Amino acid sequence: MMRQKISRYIISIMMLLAFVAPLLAQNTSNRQQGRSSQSSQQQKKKKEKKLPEVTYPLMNGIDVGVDVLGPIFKAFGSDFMSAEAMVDVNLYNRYFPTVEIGYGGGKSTNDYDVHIKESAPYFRLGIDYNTFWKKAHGNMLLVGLRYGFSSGKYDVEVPNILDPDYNGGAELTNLTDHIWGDRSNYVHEGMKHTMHWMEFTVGLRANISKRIKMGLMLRIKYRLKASVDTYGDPYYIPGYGRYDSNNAGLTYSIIYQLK
Amino acid sequence: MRKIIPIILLIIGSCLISSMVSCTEDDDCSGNARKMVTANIRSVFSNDSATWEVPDTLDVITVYAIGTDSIIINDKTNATSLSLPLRTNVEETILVFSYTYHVGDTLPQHYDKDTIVFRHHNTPYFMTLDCNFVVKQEISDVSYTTNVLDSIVIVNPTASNDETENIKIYY
Repeated sequence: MMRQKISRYIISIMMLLAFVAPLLAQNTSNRQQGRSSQSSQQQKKKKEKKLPEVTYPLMNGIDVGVDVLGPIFKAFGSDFMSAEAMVDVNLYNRYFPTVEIGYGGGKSTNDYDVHIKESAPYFRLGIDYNTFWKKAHGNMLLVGLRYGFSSGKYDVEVPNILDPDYNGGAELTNLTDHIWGDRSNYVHEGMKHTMHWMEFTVGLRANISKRIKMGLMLRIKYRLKASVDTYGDPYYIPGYGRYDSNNAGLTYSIIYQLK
Repeated sequence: MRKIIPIILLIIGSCLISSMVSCTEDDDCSGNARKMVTANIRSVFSNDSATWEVPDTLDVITVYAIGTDSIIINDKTNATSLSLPLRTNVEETILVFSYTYHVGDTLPQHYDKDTIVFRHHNTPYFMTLDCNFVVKQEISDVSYTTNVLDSIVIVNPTASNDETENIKIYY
């Protein structure tokens, strides 16, 4: 568990640096170029100010993308992994109706020999609004909403009841009765969950080349409704994260503009 | 405008890191404490026109469990309420109530016993990897001797940790 926590910190800092550094570099190079033609840019700016407001057609392109953070987290030691793809339609360069589909799952074991295994598909539907829609540089600051749904199965089991006098394993799981000393196994496979949630999103999408973009999106998630099994809660909901009343998540996407 | 983008990214990054920190806080595992049956001691009085019940006290009570050497409650004095555990891996719990009480206001002391059999349904429930399991318990039936006590009524069959009344024991 501690390794997971440490890797989370490291990955989040690395991803932040990885994303900011190119933009800062891009900014610096732009500044250098800018100095050499400062006077001409000032003239351009004056001209730009006079230009009429940019208008975009209804259909302004279709983007498809994949999230790369899921595999990266897995590579850095996370017990769970998700694979996710998205597609959105650019309407007036302002509105982006979005569909995201994915599949996630994994296995984990704690110090008391409790094994969990979970897997499920998920999808999200929603829309983003590009607050930079007037800007000619083409980068986007997106805010949006999502509805998410996941339905799948999970297993929880304690296959070996350990001797509490020796290693305390089972005793600390509450499966050993401290007063009477009874012990029991716990094996429940194929438990089912369904879950509905809502996300508030804020993200940036930057152009790498003419058709390729990077997207970083922060997601604040709220559980709307969930049904779980009689014998336990799921630990992890693919697409949502830890089974809590609210959650935060991040996606980092490589996006290709189809047209 | 382009200068704003890295600043926004830094702000988002800060939010991200702080959210990661909040996400890795340990779970609150207070909910996985052992569930208990809360029994309130009552007496019933009646006259020609009405019947009413009032809280009662037991002078001295010791509760022990069949199947273990453990004493659940040891010489509790002036007891108005008892917190009783049920077996988590067997669905029948037998408790013995041993009373010590005075006849009148002085000695001699008098001893007596009642045996109470709880039949209940146990559901071990997985919470999280940090909190592990809790055993949910529902009382389905109670049978008892009536050497001292008069009757037992199930008020709420679900055992809990919040001292919600589960049974009334009438003397």
